[in-house]
Formats: sequence, structure tokens, C-alpha cells
Amino acid sequence: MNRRDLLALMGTSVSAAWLQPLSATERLDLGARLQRELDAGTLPTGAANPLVARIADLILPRTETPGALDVRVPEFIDLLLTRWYSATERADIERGLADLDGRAGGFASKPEADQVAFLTTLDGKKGPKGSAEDTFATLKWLTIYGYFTSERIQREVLKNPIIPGRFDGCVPVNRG
Amino acid sequence: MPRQATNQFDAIVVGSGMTGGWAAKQLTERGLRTLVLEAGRDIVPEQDYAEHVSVSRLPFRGRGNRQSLERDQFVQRECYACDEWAAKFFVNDRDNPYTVPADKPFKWIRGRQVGGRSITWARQVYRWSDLDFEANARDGVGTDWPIRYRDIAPWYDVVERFIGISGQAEGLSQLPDGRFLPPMAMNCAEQHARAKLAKAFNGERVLTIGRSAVLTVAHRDRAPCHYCGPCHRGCITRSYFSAVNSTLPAARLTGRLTLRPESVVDQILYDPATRRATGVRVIDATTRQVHEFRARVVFLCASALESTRLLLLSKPRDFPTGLANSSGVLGQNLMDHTMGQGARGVIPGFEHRTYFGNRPNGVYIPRFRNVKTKHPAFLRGYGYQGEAYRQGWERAGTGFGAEYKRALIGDQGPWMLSLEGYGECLPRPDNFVGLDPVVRDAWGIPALRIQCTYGPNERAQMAEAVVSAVEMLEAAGATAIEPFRDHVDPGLVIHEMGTARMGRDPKTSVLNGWNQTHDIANLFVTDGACMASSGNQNPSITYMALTARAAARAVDLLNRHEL
Repeated sequence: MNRRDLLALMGTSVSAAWLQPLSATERLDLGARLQRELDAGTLPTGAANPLVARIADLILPRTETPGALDVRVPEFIDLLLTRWYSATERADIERGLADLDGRAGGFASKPEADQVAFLTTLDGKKGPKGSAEDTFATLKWLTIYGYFTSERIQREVLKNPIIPGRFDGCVPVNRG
Repeated sequence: MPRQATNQFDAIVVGSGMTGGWAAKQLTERGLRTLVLEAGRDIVPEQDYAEHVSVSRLPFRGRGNRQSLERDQFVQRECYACDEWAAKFFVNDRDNPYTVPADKPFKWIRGRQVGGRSITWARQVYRWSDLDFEANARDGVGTDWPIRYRDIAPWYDVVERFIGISGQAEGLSQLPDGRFLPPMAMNCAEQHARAKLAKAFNGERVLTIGRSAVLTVAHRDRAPCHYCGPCHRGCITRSYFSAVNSTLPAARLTGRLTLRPESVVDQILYDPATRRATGVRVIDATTRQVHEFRARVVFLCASALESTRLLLLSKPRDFPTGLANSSGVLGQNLMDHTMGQGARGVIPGFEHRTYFGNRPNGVYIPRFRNVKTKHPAFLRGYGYQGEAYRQGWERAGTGFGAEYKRALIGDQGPWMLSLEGYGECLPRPDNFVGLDPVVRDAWGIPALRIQCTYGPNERAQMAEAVVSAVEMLEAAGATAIEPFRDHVDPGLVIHEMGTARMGRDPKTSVLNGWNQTHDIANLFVTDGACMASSGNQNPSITYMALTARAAARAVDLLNRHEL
């Protein structure tokens, strides 16, 4: 973990005052533990953008199956934004979010019907890097990807066994 | 410590992968105490295999650790198999550099570990025929192969019987049938397309299930496939062929195998008095200590370009441009295959049917160009690898919200059929490797400089393969047909071969018809370096058969005191 990541992490989950009494060794141990947890993907950075979370919720809301927020999709997107995308790509996405928020006239403050109507105008449209259209396309794919690759959706919704044990090439869809 | 004794073997094999494993098996089973040297680390299946790790358990959910990939595996990451599970089976590009001309990219995908790239290979297995072995002589391109199908056929049998190949016999002259285990099933749309193509093209174009080194039934104490899908991450039930799963254990059983990982060979030792290879020099990858090992016969099975690099690195006075290079052609005539050209479309009519399980195999359409009639625009031909599938949630599409989500979960999406051409490359002297004058690897060994481009014959084939794919999709009743021609740099098919070719004439080739160097009787090169032409088939089975054949020959010659 680089220093910036560690500071960001601590800033959201533990306070500097709490860290103060720790010995140098204990601080190193804590850093190593955080690194392990972060590497294992078990620890969200906690810095998920509320606008991202709201959009993810509108893309895949809770129905009879869990929604994007139920399986912590915003935290997954945040992990990619901080640890996977380049600084340039992240800046493009952030500019796109600002564009989206501006053109919606303050996205968060609008009623749900208006939010849906606005996102519908972006859906499936191509736009330049940094545009609301381009960022929505990215967030939509990341929401779908993060949702369907989450442990709970893999197990409870898709129910694809890791070890099927056989291959059937042509079976009815609703079999079993 | 009896160093003399422990450093002396009957045979040395450089490399422990696809061909090294076969050399080890054959040589040890025929009585030779054999040292196998592997540049990379050992592999412990119970610890290293990752095929059953759920995507949900990975930090980046299968998208890979991009920061480390960009830093350490900036070339390897272009291979689909270098994923978040299996990136550890690919080399560190900073430790293993090579150079290319700025305008001629070549992507060299490598696996340095016990088992080499046999761990991550795509397992497709297709015999060559005399259409391939006679091709250079017929077309006046390159040099004639010194062997024909009858020379290699019994060795295809040997290899296939041991490793286990599932496939469907089709009786095609250009793609001989092998010793097949039961084929894997084709899915609904593939069965449909097979029937439609047979009718539309009068049997000239055949869509068959992929011939795959994956077991469909138990075979020689290895379990049949359980259809988890991603073989390239390993297989704890050893259901696909790799050296780790199959040949190395067989060699170990003889009690005559010594396998030494972390052993980077940088020289082949040569005695000018006897004109024989006497052994190899090794840099221990961890301690950096230098060791010498001696043997009566040396097999290079380090992969096409690594074996040639090793010959280029070994420059005794008799061979100032590289060992066994009296011909001067060592390093020349590098080939790969082409891919990325084809088409996909929607196959309607099977929306209420699907498949169960993850079949680690697709379908195959054998070459049909220049088989019975001559094509006006190009020499040789191409085959297709393909697959019919339903995209499921990955199709995404337009929309969002509750109903959209229900559809994404409840409807698997249309049946797609995708066909991708794999074309033959002609041997050309201006596609070549040499030693880079400046760049060295992490062990201080000069790196390769690689120059490789596709030529006009390959480009003509690629263009036509797109059209033929569209034609076949139409015949199969596809709608929404989408032709594609993705840009793929040479090397990325990972069928790189040639550079120490077999031939009849020692003046124009490095190896004779037994994979033995013309110049040095006890030095054999049996990996892809030996290839005089490239065919369009996935080449590993041919390398394995040639290795098994060469090893048997070497032992015969030793026993007759002719080596």
C-alpha cells in the first residue's frame, strides 16, 4: 500500500488520536494488517462517493433479489477507482460525475422519477472522456460487474456451481 | 562432497514444459539418468493451482491487479490467461526483457516454472498431415521438411494414448484423426451450425468439437474433467494434460529423474576435440552460483526462442555465430500464427434451451483453403476456433432499474456463435531473432532482439477469413452478423516457432529429421524451434510427438554407440 492509500484508509476508519499511543511496531503491524485486508478485498476504503452509490442503486435496485447497495457495489467501484484505474482515468470519471451532477441540476436533490428520467437520457449514449454519458457507461458496467461477481449474488442468485461435475450441451432453461 | 558424481548424468534436458516433460519421460523410461533443468520455480499443485477460487474472493474480482501488471507484466498481461488467478504462471517482464524494433511489436508470452506453458496452454490438439509436411516443397517456400506424416504418425499415437485427447473422428485428409477419448458435447447452437454447414458446403467445411487434451473419461490414473472451466489456473484432478500433471510424474516414477528448478542455463558446453556437447552451465536463480552439469546427450526443450537464444549464447571458436550454426540460418524464419479475424452472430431458435457446466473447449472448423483446389489469392490456409454461448449478465445492453435487473438475471440473452480464424504464416528469413547487444536479463544474460511481421500472404488470408466466417454464419442462419478483425501483434497467438529449422541440407537448416543438430551429434532441439513451416494447427501435439521420437532415437543411438 502506498502512503496516500494508507492515510486515506485511516482517515475514514480510525482516528489519528487513536493511533497516537501505538508503538512504532504496533503501527507497522497495523499497516501490514490493513494491507492484507485491502489485498484480500475484505476492507472497503469507506470513501465511496454518495453520488456513485445513488447511481448504482438506481441501476440495480433491491427487488426480490438483493440490490447493488446490499452487496457493497459502491465500495467495489471505489476500490477500482483508487487502486485499479490510472489517475487520468479517475480524473475523467470524476469530471464526468461533476458534469452529470451539474446537468441534472443537483442530482441528489431531485426526486427519484427525475433522477431516472435524467439517467435515461444518458443510457446507451457515447460521449467524450469526462462527459456524463461516458462516466455513466463506465459506472453502469462496473455496477453490473461488481454486483454479479459478488459472493452473495454468485451464491444466491446465479447459483452457478464452481464444480458442475458434468457438461450438458442442450438442456431446457428452467431445468431443476 | 562428491560434486563430480552429482553433476554427471546420462542426459540433460533444458526446460520442463510441454516438450521437456516428454523428453524426461522418454529418456528416463529408456534407462537414462536424466537431469531436467528449469529456469523457474517449482510448482506444488496443492498450493499453486487456483481453478476453484471464486471470482468473488479476488481483490479485483478477476480484473487483475492492474498496477502490478503494468509494472511487472506489461507484455504478459496481453495474454487472456494472465488473469488475476494465473498471472503467477507468467514471467516478470522486467526480469526477462527482450527488444524489438520500434515499428515491429512482437509479444513474447512466457511461463518460467516447472511445467512451463503447459500449465496455461489452451489444450487444443490437431495433427498435421502431408498437406503440411509437403507444403514448402510444393510451394517453393522455405526448405523442405525432412519428414513426412508416416514418420510422425506413430509418435502422435504414442503421445495421444498417454496424455488423453478427447475429440470426434471426421476422416479428413488435411486433419488426420487421432486416438480419441469420447468427444465433449456440442451445445444446441453448435449442433445446429454443424448440420447447416455440412449441407451448405457439401462437406467441404466441417464444424467439429475441439480436439482437446482434456479427459472426458478416467485415463491412466487421471480423473475426467469436472467442467469447472478455467484450466489455465491449474487442475487439482489432473484432468488436462500438463507436464506437471502427466509426463513429469511418469519420469519421476522411474527413479532416474533429477529435476532442478531455479536453474538458468546460460551456456551449452562444447568440446572441440570430439565435436560434442559435454553439458551445460547453470546460474542458480536464487544463489547466483554457477554450476556445470555434464551428460552424454543434451536436449533443448526450453521453448522455441529460448532454445535458439541458448545456441546463440554459446559461441565456442568452432561456432562464432552460435552453436550448431554452420548453416548461418540459426535465428531466422521465425513464425507465429494469425488470429483475430472472424465474425459473430446471433443464432435464433434455441431461446428455451441452454447448457450446464463450463466446457473448457470450443468448436473447430478445419482448414478448407488450398486443400483440394488452389486458391488464387494466397498459399496455405486457416482454420477456425469458435464457440456458441449465451452471454448472460455480461451482455449488459441498454436500460437500468428493477425490470432491467430482472431481465438480466432471468434471461440468458441470445445464443451467439463466434468463429475466429487461425492462419498459417510462411517462413521468412527477415523474421528473425538475434542477441541484443546491450540489454541483459536479471541474471546478466544477453536478451533476445526479435523482429517479426506478418507478410502479404498472411494479410490476404486474414482478410478472406473474415468473409468466409460471415458466409458460414449466414449459412448457419445467424442474424445480426458482426465481422471482426482485431489487431493482434505477432507473438500473441503464442505459437511462436522456427529459428532452428529442420531440413535435409546442413547448409540451409540447423536440425536433421531427428531433431538432431547437423553439426553436433549429441545435441537435440525438440521444441517449436525445429519447425520449417507453421501449418495452421495448434502446434503443441506436434512438438510433443517430435520430442518423443527424437528421445527414442537418441537412446537407440547411444545404445548402438553411435552417439
